[in-house]
Amino acid sequence: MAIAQEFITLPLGELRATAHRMKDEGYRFIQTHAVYNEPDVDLYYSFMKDGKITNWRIEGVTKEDAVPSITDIFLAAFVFENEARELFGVDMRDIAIDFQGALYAPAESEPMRVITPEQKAAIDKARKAAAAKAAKVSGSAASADATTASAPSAGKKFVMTPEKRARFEAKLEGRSPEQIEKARACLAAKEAAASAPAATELTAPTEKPTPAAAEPVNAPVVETSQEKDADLEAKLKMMDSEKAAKVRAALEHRGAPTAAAPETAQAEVAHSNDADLEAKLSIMDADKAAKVREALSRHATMKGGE
Amino acid sequence: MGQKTIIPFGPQHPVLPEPLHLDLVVEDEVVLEAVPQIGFVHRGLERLVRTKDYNQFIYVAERICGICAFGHSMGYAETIEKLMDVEIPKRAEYLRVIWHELSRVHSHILWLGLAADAFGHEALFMHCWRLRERVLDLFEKTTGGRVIFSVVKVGGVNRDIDRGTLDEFVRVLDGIKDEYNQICNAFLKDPSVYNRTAGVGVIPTEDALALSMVGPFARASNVNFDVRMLGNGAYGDLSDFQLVTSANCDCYARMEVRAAEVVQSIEIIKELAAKIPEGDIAVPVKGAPADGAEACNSLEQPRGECFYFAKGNGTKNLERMRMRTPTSQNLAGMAVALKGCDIADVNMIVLTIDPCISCTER
Repeated sequence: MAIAQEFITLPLGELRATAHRMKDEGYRFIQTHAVYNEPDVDLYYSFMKDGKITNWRIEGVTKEDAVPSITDIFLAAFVFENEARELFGVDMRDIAIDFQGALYAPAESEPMRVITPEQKAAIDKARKAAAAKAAKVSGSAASADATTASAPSAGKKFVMTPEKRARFEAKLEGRSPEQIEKARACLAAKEAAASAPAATELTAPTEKPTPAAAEPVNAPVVETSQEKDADLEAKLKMMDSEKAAKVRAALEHRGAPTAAAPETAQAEVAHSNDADLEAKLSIMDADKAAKVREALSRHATMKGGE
Repeated sequence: MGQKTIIPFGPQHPVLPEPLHLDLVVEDEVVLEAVPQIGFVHRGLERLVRTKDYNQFIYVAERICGICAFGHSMGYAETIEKLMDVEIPKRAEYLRVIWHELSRVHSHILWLGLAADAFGHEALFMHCWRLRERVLDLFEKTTGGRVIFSVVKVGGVNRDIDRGTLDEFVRVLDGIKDEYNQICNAFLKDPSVYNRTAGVGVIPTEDALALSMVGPFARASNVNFDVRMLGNGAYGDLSDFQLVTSANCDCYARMEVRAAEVVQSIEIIKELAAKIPEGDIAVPVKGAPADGAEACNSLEQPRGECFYFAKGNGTKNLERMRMRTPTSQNLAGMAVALKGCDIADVNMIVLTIDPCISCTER
């Protein structure tokens, strides 16, 4: 037989009323302790009656929150309340036996709030892995349903299922605020681009479209190009600023000849190929680009000789 | 009426085995108020869960206290097993309780010796500790250690006890029982001991309940609570469990309760040794406690109820481990018991509460 237990969340404002009720109902006070829940602290008050442990949990107690003492109701709490103040920095008020910070007098202030970067990184990594694993396992069936629902354009249209969102959120953990902001902007752009075609596609007829229906069916094609642009923009936001600048330059370089509109199709293709090549070379290392240029010139010479 | 004076008592004092400080506000020879102060040996062991994984921490938990060492490792392991939803083999449950009750026997006999020393009966102190050595021999035979045992692990225990050794347990404990009864006669029937302890440090039942006191200290004030009666683990398989209580509420009652609990523990060990099932002594435990998972546990240590709380964060290191030891809970009761007592009785009252500061300051 195991000892029964329960954890119940309690607002800070109801702490004293609950302590009074516990006493009136004949509960025995067991203890109080704090748990560091960055950046705040959770406080636990444990009571027992008829072999069952009831833990009241007050979540998110900040340094500014004044926590009233319950030592006038349960004197035995005085050690734990002094402890919560010294080790966690909880602002405990009116403790019956108040050591004024001299119970343990730790060398380091609020030592239980200190987490080293290595420990934090390990915790974040484990949380990320666990969240991704859970999302993968629980999301496979739901993803299949979502794929079926969006079957007409599967593989092309962006659909943000709850599972994908969970994976996305899991990936964000541990990243810098700047990266998180960029990633969220990317997602918003994708969703905005996908929202219009989604409505169209879900209502689109599955049979061959009539000429009257041609316009709405063609609409997603236009939107897909917008979606590509949004995708590209999002990817650029995720890149290093230097790399993104290079890619933008290459893209602009590629776009310029198109605007120039060469006279013949052959000339256009040749010009476009050259522009592509230049764009690719511009984002390569200088040495590598030089080698490629040299190889190309050799190739052109040989071709001219033939 | 005399003048009020504050007398510092401890942390270094011949009667205190551990560093506890009391500011005794006295008037003539009467203590008006006692303000306890701890914090001289705080080690921050609870914080070590950040650097030790949940398997390694069992060895830290065991080192919280030299007397309750086995109990702490057992209580901690049970909490982690709850946290990770692990069910251990029945044989492991029995072995844990056998060792835990053996710890209670040696702890109570040790304490009786200290009590004898406190009221000046050195020969009785020697007899108690001589008897305790035989209990420690049993530990050494089955675990290899006399203070730190390292036999508990998450998922069961590391070592088994064979049938022959269990029979030897019973033989040795039966042998101890006779000698122990003679020692108890000296404690409980000697008029000089009675005069020194009866009516001293009285805590009425209603005060003990209001102060949430635990352990033999509370049961001596007629509080009907012992975690073992909840039937956790192998305790649930006992044919009968009768609480040892006393209605006298004084230092004598505390000796009476502890003396009787040694006999009770011996009977529990004998019953479980006879009933212990065959089978595995551990199950493999893999993975890590889930992020946000919480569990708590309660265990009757020799000095009283010990509360454990654990919270996981998805890694092998716990987010938080909390151990509320019996002395933390009894300090308030001690402060109240000292009020109004004679200054010469302070040492008796403090000793009968048996404060373990190592446990309290973890």
